[in-house]
Amino acid sequence: MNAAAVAVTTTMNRDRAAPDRRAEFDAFYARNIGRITAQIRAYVGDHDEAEDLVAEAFTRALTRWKTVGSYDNPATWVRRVAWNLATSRLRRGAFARRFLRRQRITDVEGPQPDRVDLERALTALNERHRKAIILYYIADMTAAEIADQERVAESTVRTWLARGRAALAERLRIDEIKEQP
Amino acid sequence: MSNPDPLAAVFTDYTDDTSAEVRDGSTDRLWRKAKRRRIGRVAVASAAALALLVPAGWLLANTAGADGPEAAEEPPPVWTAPAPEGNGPNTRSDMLVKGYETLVGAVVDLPSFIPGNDEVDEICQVDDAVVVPGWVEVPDEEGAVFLREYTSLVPAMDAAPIPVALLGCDYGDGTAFQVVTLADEGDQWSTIAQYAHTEADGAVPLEITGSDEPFGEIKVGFAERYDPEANDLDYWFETITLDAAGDPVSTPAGDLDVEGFSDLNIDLAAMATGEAGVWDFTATIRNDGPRDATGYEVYMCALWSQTFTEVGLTDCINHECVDTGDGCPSNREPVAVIDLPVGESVTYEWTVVMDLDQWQAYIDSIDDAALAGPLFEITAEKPTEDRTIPRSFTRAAMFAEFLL
Repeated sequence: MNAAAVAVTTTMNRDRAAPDRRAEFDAFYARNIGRITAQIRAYVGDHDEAEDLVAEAFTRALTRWKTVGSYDNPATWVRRVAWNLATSRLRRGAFARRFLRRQRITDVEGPQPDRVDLERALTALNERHRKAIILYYIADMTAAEIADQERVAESTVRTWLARGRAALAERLRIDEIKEQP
Repeated sequence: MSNPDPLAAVFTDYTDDTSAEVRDGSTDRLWRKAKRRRIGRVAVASAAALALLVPAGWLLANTAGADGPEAAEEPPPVWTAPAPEGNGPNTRSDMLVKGYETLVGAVVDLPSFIPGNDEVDEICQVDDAVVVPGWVEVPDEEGAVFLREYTSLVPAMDAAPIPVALLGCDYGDGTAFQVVTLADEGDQWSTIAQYAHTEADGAVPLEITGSDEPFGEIKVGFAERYDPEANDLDYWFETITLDAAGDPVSTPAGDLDVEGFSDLNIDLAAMATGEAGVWDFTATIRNDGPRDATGYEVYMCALWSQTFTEVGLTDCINHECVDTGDGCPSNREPVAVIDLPVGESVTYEWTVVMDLDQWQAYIDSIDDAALAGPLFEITAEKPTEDRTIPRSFTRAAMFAEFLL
């Protein structure tokens, strides 16, 4: 038997022996797919792109589930991978060009901003401000948690949030922005 | 009493709406994808192991032949797979080194590309960097950490091979490189040791070669920072090991004769003919100086060369094999040998035909088609007679075109 055959057999045995692992991963996926996709969609401004990126992040988690599944919060790992992938893709040529085209649409009409308006307004933010805003409002992270993840001072995150809020308020025509956190 | 945050309500609605739009609540697609990826990795890793073990097997065969009376009658060395030997430290599975495709897309922690240079550190993220492809050309995105070359070394007798990567990063004013050994920790990769890095206004590592023996050695090719106005560029190789403290120790391994070394640029255009799978290629090679180029060998290759018919193409992965439809009967051959004075160019045209069934079979066998091609690549190389210096170091130009 050659080496490749040995290795593939090992893989198949692993699959047969893991029904609990599948159920565990599926439950984890169901709990987190919506919220993480929402974050990435808000970041990249494109639903299909967001779904692709998040699917890739979950797939990477799945291929390492023995390790990732043992973490206190595997969703943090998936979210981080998805963000890294999104950042990488945003900086690539074709997608960046589409992104920049959307960025030109910066003025939003109407007192009741819907999600399209919000995505357009988000794309106009500085990348770090945008990330902080999304992590704060969609991922429900505190300024301290964002600071820890981004390895910056908490005061820096507060500045990002304040600037992000101000820019969003201007673009979304929201008059009252609460001074927090 | 404070007013509620109006943005909180906006984002709550947004999150509810977009979460509800997630189309596929099933993980079936992910499981299929993960399974294909695992199998693909196994196949690639097995191929990598073959590449690692063939030289060792060849060496053993030759040694045995030289010691025996039938040395002259020894058949050509043929590698055969060893039988599985259990779970000890010398089993075949321990010899596997994951391939470059595993590192691409991975999250990795690295040391600084130019230690002490804060501006470069600011641009070139080294903590949790996501590695992108860069073995053909520097990616457009500034600050991206890209993989230029990938090999392995064996640190000691009976030790498993360790991945070695030449990684780069465009920091705006230039491109910095570093050579590191890496450890795959499952969720991400970490750096074991940094063997070389770009020196500010000094040497730049541009090439790596690893081998099973001597143990713990990496051969690194360096060049001075490229200056198109200069005519005194130096290119050399160093053998680098680590001392007991884990610090790199370099020994000069050889200089490259710079005569004829010039900055060739290649533009490659692929144009669909309207007929399915048929493409016209135009490659223009231009010498931007500073020296007249003489004796450059032009090669073209394709990833998964079996998908291309009517043109005998070298496989980009296995440069020693030319697929002419009868297996791999010969070493690769240049499509042209050119002399090109400064400022002049030469243009080649080819029509290639893809076997779409072969291509589909290839796509079905891999996970990420975007990383796989189909790729058509052309290089112009200056051969060297010094066997201690890898031929590829003299690569002056390379361009790859992804067709689909």
